[in-house]
Amino acid sequence: MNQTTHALLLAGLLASPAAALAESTVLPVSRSSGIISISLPADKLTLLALPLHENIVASGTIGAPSGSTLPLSVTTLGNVVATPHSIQLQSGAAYGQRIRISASTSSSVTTVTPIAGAAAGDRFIIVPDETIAGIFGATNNVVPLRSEATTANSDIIYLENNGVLTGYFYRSGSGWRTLTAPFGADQSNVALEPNSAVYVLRKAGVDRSITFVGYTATGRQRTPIAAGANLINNAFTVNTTLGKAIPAAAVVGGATTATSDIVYLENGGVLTGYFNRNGAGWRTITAPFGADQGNVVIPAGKAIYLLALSASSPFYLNETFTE
Amino acid sequence: MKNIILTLLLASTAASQAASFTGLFTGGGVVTSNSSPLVLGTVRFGTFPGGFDIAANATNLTALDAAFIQFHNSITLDNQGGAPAGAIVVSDISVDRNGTYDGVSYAAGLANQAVFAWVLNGTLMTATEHGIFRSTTNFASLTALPPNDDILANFDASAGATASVGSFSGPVLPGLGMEASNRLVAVPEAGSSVLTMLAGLACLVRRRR
Repeated sequence: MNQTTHALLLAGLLASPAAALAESTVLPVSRSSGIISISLPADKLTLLALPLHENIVASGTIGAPSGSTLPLSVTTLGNVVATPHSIQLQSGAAYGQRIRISASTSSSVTTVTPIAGAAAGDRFIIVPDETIAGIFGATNNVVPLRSEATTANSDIIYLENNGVLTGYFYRSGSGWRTLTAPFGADQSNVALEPNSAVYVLRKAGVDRSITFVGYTATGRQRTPIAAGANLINNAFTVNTTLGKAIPAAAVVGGATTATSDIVYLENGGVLTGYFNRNGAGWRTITAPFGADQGNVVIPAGKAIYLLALSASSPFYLNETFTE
Repeated sequence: MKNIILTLLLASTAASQAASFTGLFTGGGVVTSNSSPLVLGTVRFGTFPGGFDIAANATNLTALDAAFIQFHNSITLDNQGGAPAGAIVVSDISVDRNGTYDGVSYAAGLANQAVFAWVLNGTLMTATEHGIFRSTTNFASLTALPPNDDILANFDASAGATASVGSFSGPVLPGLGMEASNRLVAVPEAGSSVLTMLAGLACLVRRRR
């Protein structure tokens, strides 16, 4: 996230009495902006969500789509390709869908894939997508994560793209590198896929945390799903529950775990899997006939690990209290 | 200093959703017994069955080879990836957990077993030095989820690797971490032991005729 934006937002937020008084790790200062601090404990994994937008570049309504190209009601859109941005629809049949922008003009954008269901009149926002440097700093100066010359004792972050998780570490004195090419090119500018998150694997050391400052997301959150592993961002700054955030219609539910999407939530570094049995209710994968798990909390700041049966999974997250 | 690089970076299979294997010697690098960075040779990844006495067979390449369940075999190459001399990076090897390796299914032979690297300064037939190093990483279980189905085996001293044959000792190679190198040791009449055994077998066959 842009550090200048951070500083400006932080200054404004700290000036407010609400922020000064709040002691929780989650500080919803207003409907449109906030601060959230997320723990990154040593020697544990964390499903790190990115709950706040750096800023909203443009908003309005779209015209009739032509393939992957969406005409916009705005006519002064700047360059949203030089650095990665995505467009998110906030109404209509494709409500919540967020897709990376591959080309743009002052009044239109082209997405990397067409947005199924998009129609003239749908509301949109355009937001920047995060990069490794944007979250952790090009020199690993934000948290900082543990870095050494090798992967042996360095913290590792995994990003997901089309169902494939790729690991990165900060090579001390060099920069961000993939695990498989520790002497390869710098990876600072690798962008997270829209509405994706970070799987952080910390090694021994001291507990850390990361603080995000920005604009809160609103409405349903949806992004294309790949068969297999998906790191799904939990874009909201308040706790929610499995049952409220992920309705039965948002996953493939079957009689067994073998025929269901599986949602993993992380708590204290431990992943627990849940599936929606026959679409009737949430169960743990280890107790498929056990108690309903719909009230299990999805904490703000924690992402969701989805093991999808196929790319046709309908997965989406509802904004709690609004749907 | 002659900048000979010992790195093997195979073609990326990033688009694949299969789990991957990576083997790394990037802390102190691999050196021969005379402290030269190893620049050509063979790196074999796999495991030794529990109960096999590696130390007792340290000079018997034939016995070691017979016991070793090989997952992957790489010939080290020069000057790839910008790595310092002595570093070995073998990456993006696809892991087939339904596959068979050395005649043993992954499930029976490799799953949950420690990852060993057997480094030779030539082929099994020509090597005069070798080292066997055990990482703290195990081959992934059959049920491991991504990214835990990926195998990142680090053979550096700082990663807790141990030397079953060979040792960890200086020098610190330029451009690598400030830690001991993976040092190979001589195999007494090394490659020739295999040849001797083959010659012996040939004599037996001839006598029987």
